[in-house]
Parts: sequence; structure tokens; C-alpha cells
Amino acid sequence: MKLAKQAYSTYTDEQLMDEVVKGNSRAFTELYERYSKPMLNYFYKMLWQDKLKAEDFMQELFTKIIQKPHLFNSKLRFKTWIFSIANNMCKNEYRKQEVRKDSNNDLHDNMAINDGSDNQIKKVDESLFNDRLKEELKELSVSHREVFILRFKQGLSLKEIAEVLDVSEGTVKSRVFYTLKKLSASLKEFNPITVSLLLLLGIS
Amino acid sequence: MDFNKNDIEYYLLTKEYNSLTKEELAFVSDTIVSEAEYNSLRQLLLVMEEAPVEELLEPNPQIKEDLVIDFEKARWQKGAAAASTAKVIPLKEERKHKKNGLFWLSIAASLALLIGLYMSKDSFFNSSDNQMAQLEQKVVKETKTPKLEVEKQEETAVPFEDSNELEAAIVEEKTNTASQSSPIITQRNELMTNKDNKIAAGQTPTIEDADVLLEEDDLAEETITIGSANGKRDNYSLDQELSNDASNTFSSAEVVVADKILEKELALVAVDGEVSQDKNSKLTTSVKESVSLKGDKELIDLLYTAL
Repeated sequence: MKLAKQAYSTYTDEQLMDEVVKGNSRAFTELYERYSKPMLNYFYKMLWQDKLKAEDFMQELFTKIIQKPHLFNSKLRFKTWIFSIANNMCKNEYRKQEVRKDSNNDLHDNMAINDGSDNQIKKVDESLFNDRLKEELKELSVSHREVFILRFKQGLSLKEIAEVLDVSEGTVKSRVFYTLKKLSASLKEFNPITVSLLLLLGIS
Repeated sequence: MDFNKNDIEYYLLTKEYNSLTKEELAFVSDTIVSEAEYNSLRQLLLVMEEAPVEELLEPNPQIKEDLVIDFEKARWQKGAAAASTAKVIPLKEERKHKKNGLFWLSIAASLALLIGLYMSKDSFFNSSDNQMAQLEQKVVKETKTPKLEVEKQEETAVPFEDSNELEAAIVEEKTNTASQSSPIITQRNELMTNKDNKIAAGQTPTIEDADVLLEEDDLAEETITIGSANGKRDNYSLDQELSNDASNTFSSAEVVVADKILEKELALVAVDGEVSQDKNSKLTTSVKESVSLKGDKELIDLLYTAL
């Protein structure tokens, strides 16, 4: 058992997915171990820091893989494939929220305000910058936000992001730097010197 | 965050604008237009790097258990579905394949048949023609062989090939036997020699001579009938006849001989008739065969034209 587990840990994502297609549950468990945490946090960041929603989405994502493993194209990288599924799920959710927002008088904003206010109260000492960044990210368009999260939170390369979003690498590059410029302008006060001073003064 | 030298973020995080080489500056300038912009982006990335790492959320362990159960269920369902489809769908496909296979097989077979017929048409008909020719030859042979057999029989039975020789032999034998065995014949011979001598001397023969002449004519007639009959006579029967003649009077003996010869000739004619009947039957069968072959050929021609 231990040997088998070790053997699967040496498999690439694509090899594991081939085993999943064959019905190998151990391979599926290994893939879950590798991607459950990154996907949960991706959903968490993309879906208004709602942990329950993020968990629901993460479970739904793996259920899709169980039900339709044959849809995986072994020529592509599993990482980009799973992120592209997650990204599409997020986009669908944004559309749903847009509809609800119109009918329920700005529900999404209320959710964001509540979540953000709690975080601000809880973690103002630890991560003032992160909270501000989250707030600024919410202000960004979906296309710029997803690019920023994939690039700086999930650590995907420009090429991988291009594959996930099914756009050109140049488009990804321009989106990344547009987001960086906008955030740098809005978070101007958070330069290293300012942050250091704030920390020294014990304000954060 | 891990960046390599192909990423602008790498230079933003590791180098100030003034410390960039010309090549690096050229690479960065594609995206960042000014030193101020470079510095502002660098400040942001440095803050992001130095900011405390956010605690990553841990997934609920119950989710994993649920997913593993779902996976097993899905696998079982797929297995059952695969088993059922393996029983049902392949049968249909197999039928299709069988149908296709039969279809193509029939086409291939018919093509092969047509090509085969076309290729072997000439040789086939030639062979049938050959068969016909062979049959004809056979018929001709068969018509010839009985004659030969008969001739052989004749050769074995009668050493004389020519009827005149036979005639002469009979006459000679008759004269011999008559001279040797019968006094009447001896007397007749004497009379004959007398007559011949008289004729040779230019004298007219007497009444006795006339009788001799009449008898001579009868003998001549007798030999003529034997020659025309073309029959078989062995030496034994001839001797017997002649010996019988010797025991009787000259004229009655000759009549008996003539009757017997006639009987034998009739028997020979009957034998010839049987032989000819056999020949006729063989000929008719061979002709029938040739006719049936011709019919077959016509049928094959019809089939070929129909195809």
C-alpha cells in the first residue's frame, strides 16, 4: 500500500489522469491531494473569499473530473486544464451573481462588504496590505483579476495562463501589466518604506 | 512567487532601473515605458513579496471521502454500462460488419467469377472444341476399328485375301479331291481332258462333252456366288464338304456344297449385321454426346451474355 502510494507520487499529473480514466481510485486520490488546496484557495480568491462557496466549487470541480475524465486531452497539461475548468466555473458564477444582483438589489456587494469588513477588523494588524489588495482586486474586471490571481497567487506562467484562458500570451502579458499598473497606482501608499514605518509604529 | 529571466517580474524584483544592462533594459522597455513606471511596479511587487503570506485554506476532509465514494460509484456504473453495451452494441455493430462483409464478399466473388469466366472463356471453349474434335476422332476410329477387327478375323479365318484366290483354291481342291477320291470325278476329268483336247484340235465336242460343259458352268456359278458372298470358309469345312461330295453323285454333291456355302454366307451376313448394329449404336451415342456438348456450349454462351 505504502509502495503503491509512493509510486503514484512519482507520477506526473497527466499519467495520473490516464489512470483515473481507467478507473484507478488511488490515482484520483493522488490528484486530489495535489490540487484540492490550490483549487480551494483559487475559488476562495475568485469568489469573494467565501470559504463555503469555494469548498462547494472545489467539490463540484472534482465531481466533474470523476464523471467525465475522458474529456481530458492528454496533449495538454493537467494544471492548465483544471484551472481552465475552475475559471469557467467562476465566470458562470459571476453571470449568475449579475442576474441576482439585478433582481435582489445588490446582494453581491453586501456579501463583499460583510466579508471585507470582518476581515478588516480581524486582520488589520497582520495584513493591512493584503486586505487593501483584496479590495482593489474586487474593483478590477474579471479578466484582469483572474490573470492577476493566476499569475501572482497560483504561480502560473504567462503561457499557462494563456492556455487556461484560451487567449494569446501577448494578451495575458498586457493584462498582467495593466493590472500591476492599476494596483500600483491605487496602492501607492504601500511602498516598502511606508510599510516598514507602519510596522515600526505598530499601527498595523 | 518564482520568476525566471524571461519574466519582467524577475528584473522588477531583483534590479533597480539604473542597474539594468542594455539588453535587460531593451527587454523591459517592451512593456514598461519609463523609469517612474518601472519603480512604481517594483515597489508593488516588493510589498507583495514582503507582505505576510496568506494562510491557505485547507479543504474539508469530508469532501475527499465523498469524492472517493462518488468515484467508486461512477466506476461501477461505467463498468456496468460498458458490460451492457459490450453485449448489445457490438452485436449490432457485428451485424453491420457481417452485412458489410457479406456484401463485399459477394461483390468480390462475383468479380472473381466474371474475371475467371473472361480469362478462361477462350480456353474453356477451346477445350470444349477439343473435346468435340476428340469425340469426332473417336467416332471415326470406332467406325474404322470394327472393320479392322473384321478384317483381322477374316485374315485369321481365311488366308486368302482375294476372292479370286479363294475361288481358284476351291476349284483346285475340288478337282484334287475329285481326282483323288471319286471314280466319277476321275471319269469326269478324263472327259474334260478329252473335251479340251478336242477343242484344241478344232473338233466339235460331243453330247457327253456338253454334259461336262454344263457341269462346268454350274461350278463356275457356284464359285461366283462364293466370291460375291465374301464369306468365311475354313479348310476343315471345305474338306468335309468335298468328302461328302465324294460319297454322293457329282451333281447332287455340288448342290449340297452350294447350299452349305449359302447358309454360311447368310450366317456371315448376320454377323456383319450385328457388327454394324454395334457400330451404329456407338455412333449414335457419340453423336448424342457431341450434340449435348454443343447444347452446353450454347448454354454457357447464354450465361456469359447474361452476366
